[in-house]
Amino acid sequence: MKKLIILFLPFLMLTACVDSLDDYNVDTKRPSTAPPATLFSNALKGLADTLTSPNVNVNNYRLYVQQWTTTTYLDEPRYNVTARIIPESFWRGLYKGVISDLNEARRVINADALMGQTTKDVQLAQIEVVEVLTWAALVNTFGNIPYSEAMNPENPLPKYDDAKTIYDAILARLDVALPKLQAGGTPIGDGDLLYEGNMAQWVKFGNSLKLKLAMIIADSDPEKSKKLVAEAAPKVFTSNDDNARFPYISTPPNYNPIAQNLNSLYTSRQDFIAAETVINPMNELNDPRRLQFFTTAGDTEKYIGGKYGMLNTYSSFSHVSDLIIEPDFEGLLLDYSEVEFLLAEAVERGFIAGSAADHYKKAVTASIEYWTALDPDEKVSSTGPARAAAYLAQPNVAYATAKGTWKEKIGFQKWLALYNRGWESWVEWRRLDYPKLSPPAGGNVPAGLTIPVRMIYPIVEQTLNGANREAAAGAIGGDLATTKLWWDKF
Amino acid sequence: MKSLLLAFAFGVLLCPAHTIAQSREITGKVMAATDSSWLPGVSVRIAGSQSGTLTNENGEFRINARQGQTLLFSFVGFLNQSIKVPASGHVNVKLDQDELSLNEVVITAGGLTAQRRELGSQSTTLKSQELTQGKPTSVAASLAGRVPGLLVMGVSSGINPAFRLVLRGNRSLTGNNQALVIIDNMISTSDILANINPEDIDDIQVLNGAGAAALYGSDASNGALIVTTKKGKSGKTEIRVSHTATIEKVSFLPQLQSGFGSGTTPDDVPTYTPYENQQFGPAFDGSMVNIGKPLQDGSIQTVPYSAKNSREDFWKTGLTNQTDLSISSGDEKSTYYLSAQYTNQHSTIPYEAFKRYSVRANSSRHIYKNLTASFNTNFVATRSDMSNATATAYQNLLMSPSQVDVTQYKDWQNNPFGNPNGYFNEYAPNPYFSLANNRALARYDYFQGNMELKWNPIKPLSFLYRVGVTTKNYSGKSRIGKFTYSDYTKSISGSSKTDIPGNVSDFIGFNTQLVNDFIAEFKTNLTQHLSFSSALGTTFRENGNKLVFVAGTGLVINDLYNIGNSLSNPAAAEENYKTRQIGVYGETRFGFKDFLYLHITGRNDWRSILSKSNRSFFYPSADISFIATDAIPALGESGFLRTLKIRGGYSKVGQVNLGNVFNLGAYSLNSTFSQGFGYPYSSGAGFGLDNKLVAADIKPEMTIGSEAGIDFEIAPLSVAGGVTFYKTNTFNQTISVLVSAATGYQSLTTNVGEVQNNGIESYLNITPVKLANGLEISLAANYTFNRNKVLSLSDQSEQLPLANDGTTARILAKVGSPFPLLQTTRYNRDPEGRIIVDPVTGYPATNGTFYDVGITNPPHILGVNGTIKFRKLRFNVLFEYRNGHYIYNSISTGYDFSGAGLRTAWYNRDRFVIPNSSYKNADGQYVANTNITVRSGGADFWTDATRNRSIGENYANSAGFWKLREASLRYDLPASLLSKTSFIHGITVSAQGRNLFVWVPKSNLYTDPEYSQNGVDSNAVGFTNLAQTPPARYFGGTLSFTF
Repeated sequence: MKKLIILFLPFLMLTACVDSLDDYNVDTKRPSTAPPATLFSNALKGLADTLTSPNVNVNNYRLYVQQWTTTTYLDEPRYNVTARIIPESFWRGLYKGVISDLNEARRVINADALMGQTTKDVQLAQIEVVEVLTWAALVNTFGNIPYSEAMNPENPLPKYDDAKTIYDAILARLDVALPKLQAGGTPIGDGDLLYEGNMAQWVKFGNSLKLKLAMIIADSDPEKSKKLVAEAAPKVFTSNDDNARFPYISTPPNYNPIAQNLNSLYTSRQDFIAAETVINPMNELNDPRRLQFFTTAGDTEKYIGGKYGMLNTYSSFSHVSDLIIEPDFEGLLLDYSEVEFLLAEAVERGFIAGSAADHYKKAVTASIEYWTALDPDEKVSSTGPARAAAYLAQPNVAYATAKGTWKEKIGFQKWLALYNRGWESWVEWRRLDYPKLSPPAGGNVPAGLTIPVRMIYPIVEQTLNGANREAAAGAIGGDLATTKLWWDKF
Repeated sequence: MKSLLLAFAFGVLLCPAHTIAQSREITGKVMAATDSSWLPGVSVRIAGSQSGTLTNENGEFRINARQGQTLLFSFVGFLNQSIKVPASGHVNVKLDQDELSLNEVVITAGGLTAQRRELGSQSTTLKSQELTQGKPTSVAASLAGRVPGLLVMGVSSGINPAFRLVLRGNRSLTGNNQALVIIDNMISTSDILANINPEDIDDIQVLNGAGAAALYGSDASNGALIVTTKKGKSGKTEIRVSHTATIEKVSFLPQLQSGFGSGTTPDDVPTYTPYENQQFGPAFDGSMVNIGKPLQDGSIQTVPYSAKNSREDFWKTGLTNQTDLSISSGDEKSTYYLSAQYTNQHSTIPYEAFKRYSVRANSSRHIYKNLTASFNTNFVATRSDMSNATATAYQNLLMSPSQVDVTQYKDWQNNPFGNPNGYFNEYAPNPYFSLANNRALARYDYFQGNMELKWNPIKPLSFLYRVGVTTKNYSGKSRIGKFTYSDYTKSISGSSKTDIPGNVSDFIGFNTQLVNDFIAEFKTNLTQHLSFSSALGTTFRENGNKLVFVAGTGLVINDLYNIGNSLSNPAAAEENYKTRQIGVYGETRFGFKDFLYLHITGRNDWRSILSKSNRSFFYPSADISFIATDAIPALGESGFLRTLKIRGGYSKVGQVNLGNVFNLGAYSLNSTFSQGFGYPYSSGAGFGLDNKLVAADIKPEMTIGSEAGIDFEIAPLSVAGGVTFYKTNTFNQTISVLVSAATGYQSLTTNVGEVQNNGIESYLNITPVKLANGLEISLAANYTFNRNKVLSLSDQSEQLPLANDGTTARILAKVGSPFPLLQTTRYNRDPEGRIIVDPVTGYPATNGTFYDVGITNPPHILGVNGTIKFRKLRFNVLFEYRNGHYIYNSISTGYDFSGAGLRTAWYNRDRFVIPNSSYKNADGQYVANTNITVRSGGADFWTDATRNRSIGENYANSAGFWKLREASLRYDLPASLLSKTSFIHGITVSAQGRNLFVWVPKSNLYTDPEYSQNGVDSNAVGFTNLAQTPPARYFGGTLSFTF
């Protein structure tokens, strides 16, 4: 009998333990739920990082619009997108790094039984605005992308939706969200790294975004574009104080990715210099922003740009200025000067009433004032308006007398104003088709290069979601960097 | 009254018996012939009768027997003896060890034993002498080439190298494939095996298949290495002291060019640049040249412009000293074994040092007649001093042009040209400085202890209770010293010499494993011919790991390596994991007439890391063993065939594959969030959803295996051999399939995929010469063949990447191919296989597609072992051959970009025609190229990624080799010399060497193909990089005294 008890004792131990094994499966190191404000904050950082980074593995748009060029490594300025995982980095950076977190934040807010309805509305609206911006970034880069079936872990093979359909859907979402920004209630405050919960500025941000997104489809869907522009125009940014800026801090890893890749404190690489494509016109116009955009070249006091797409010796040309490579240099998502250029264009297209010249002047002034104010060497901020006025007085700058059609005038000045915002500048260049940029040629440059008008789908999608990607490639007319998006009519 | 009558009757009966032949008490003692230790439990029977007795704890027996009767002595593991009843009434018997391997006692599981004849699956036993004759610091090194079916890979270099042990090929795509290590019946880890004192080991039994190890639980689905340490012997006291000194020198260096020095110009006329790291300068001509930039005082070094051997001389001569002490003793009630070892090693890498202290105490005692208690404890403390910058230092060494004697710059603190400020090379720092400035000190302390109670209340039944603890307790500090360049250096060197801010990091952690085993065993004979044994057991195991880590960058005060001395906020992390598992198992063995055995096992596990509904899984196994020569005596009659055993088995084992060795797979089922590194960001935290989604219904990976084999012994030449065929299928592989980032996750872990392995394990031992004068020559060989194939993966993909080296090479699992499969990029070739070159530049190119190269684990392994014994002298040599596999060397930067590699000088840096090439002519046809040379034969070609370095086929080669693994010569001083001293019982002198020679195919210009840059735990074998320094050969001598 004793033996039997001894034999069965361990079995008793068994049953005692099996039930409590569940407790052993709760991770003591990482949480299974997170507060929505923290997810929002992480998403904003992901968005700013992807759009601002100059890293050749992620974002080469400053090269495509020929604001910068490289010294030694010529693959990226010559539009090679397969040597590195460039499409995948952008894709993943936005899908996984931004939308996934916003999605989860939305889920947690909706599931929160203790939150008041108005608070929920306002916070969801903040999330919506950022998410719409992110979806727009994806659609305007790749074209058809997974949208309706995305963000669902049960479905590892989401189908790619038509780009225009997605765009219309997100514009609709933005329209629904905008009034909710003023629902009252407690907005996301501490996690809101753009405006710290200032809803008045959020309303302007939302409307400025609507204006921008609407103008993008101006050539393909002018009716809709006009309607949306007219709605948004009165409520957009009114000064540089309203800029949607992401506040990088000076300590790694939350510092500006430009600093990470260009600042000698953090890297010894010397890959980028200013391109002559942008410096030469600025030299001709005595553009005051050169002080903030570039360093002087070597020992000269001049601004000299390198040949785009060719080998250049770092020390002989102007580099990116010390101001821009500061680790705490802010990352802009949307700014006032951009908004004014859009309004000028809207007037020219007949979408709103007003004076294109007036908006143009405000836009250029805003840009010059912004850069002047940021420059720590500028002792007096009031030099900004004075400089702008002097600049605009030149016949080649003044709206009435500048060269070309309104597209060329706005296109060229906007290109200068969007210096350092490569991705946005690339979108505008595709839309307005000015300034005229030529791909590199001659020497040992391979023949037949063209500037990309979209980014190809990530190579890895061919193995992960091959059938759907094939279908999408067929639908857009080929998964190539030369396939134009639906709004890029000209 | 009745009793008196009975007694009287007995007495009457006895009297006549007494007159016929007196039956009296015979006494005696039974001892083992080899070492005269007495043997308890020996069966002493009177021939022809059932009566008998057993020897007691002292080996003594008493039995009543008559003159003329024969006493039969039998004991497991020893040859039976029959002795006529002696006239004196007292007899001492010496039993010889049973050399018949069929009767050898082997461990099956959980401490249960059986004779080899009963085993239905392949297993090999290695004895202490084979394991220690090469005197390795880690016993895993001596397993290579000795065990059929076992692949031993020494994956790293330097101090305390790590070994990857895999039996029967890789079964799991991403999970653990390494054999389970069991030490003294306790589940242990491979790093304890690497650090256990090899002298403590009595034997290692290798159980190849999952079937043989199904009773150890799902961790043994990869086979098991069962290590038994020495326990002491009753009646024999032995004290042993020995010392071994081993010298270590690099044996295999990469092939470098010795014709060209510093320079980087791409065009046809190379210019000499005194401070360059690249070696595309002019050819060596012996003239005096400057090197480096001048110091502040204007001085500059001048050297003759010719090749020196300093890149080979950089590697030191290493020295290891090992001192051992052991005491083994025992009496009738208890035995004990105590040992201590101190090892001190300096390897071939400058500044590396390793110390190990090991202490062991094993003891057992018969408390009562049938209750035995024993304990085995072992404590090992290791201290290592290494560098985390070994790969950097090796690359810096290759980036040193060969006209410079790098070994002069050892004293970088005082030598102005060795100091980073004045070092000649602008782009690659002094390798001595790289190593000295980046140090990682680590302390790993291991404790393993168990206690056993065995109770044998009645003969057939015994109970065993075992509790054991295995702990690893570690801490360490890594540091990079702060270095500020002088203003003068910064002014002349610009951004190539940037200040090092310095950093320090500390970690501390522990791993604990607690195991409780309870086993009930029942052994009996059901009938005269049918034996039956059964065991039922349960085991309970808990594992917990914890790690705390802090790091700070930017040191304020030089040389003060403390976290408080940093400018930045320290980064800190803490991790802890805990898991439990419970198992219940049973086994039964039927034996029919000692020649047919059937063995059945079954086990059920509950694992805490799985979800509640999938937590429990059951797996059975069965095997059969048939001794043909005992069943059919006719087979053995000719005297040619001594034994023939036919065996076969089937098993099913599940292995849970979640997480890794550190996190134990705990908590893997939950999606969690993490803060970005560096948060909080100004005011708040920022959490992001993790990348990985684990399917909630994750199940264990199941391996179904079957094997069949024969073992035979042939009398002439004492031949023994065997061959086993096996096949295993592992399905429900747990792999992470990548999903489109559009789902919000990057990967999904789910059960999908199947891998099949089949192969042959064979061995043959011959003793061709065995003479009476003591000369004995024996040869042993074993051959292993493994064929591995991925049968299926997931619906979405036919490929599962495991590791990659940029876009040049990768290791993956691909449906229809073996895994790990190496793929590299290749030159673009025309339909006839010629390399396509550009008709203008003569340069080749690649389009970036990956092509299969081959499997990276050897399909063929052959070990050949020869021993010559002559009286007290013993010589042994072991060779190993591996072939059929490939390796990729991720060293194109250090080798071709630097210009150090032999490849870059094949054509003397002149323009050359790419051999076997063609170009497209105006008609679009490919024409053989005999005249278009490359535009540049120097830096423009060899350093360029698209023309040379990104073409992986240039750095992939066959990983085959022949190695002289071990050679040892041992001499035991004859007893006649020693008898002069009363206390020294033996002196042994030996000389031994390991990894003495390596022969590799010509295509291998680089390094030892056994290395794996991804470490022991990774299945992605097949890449080497510069973190693996040149391999070493070891040779040394030992002197040992036995008292």
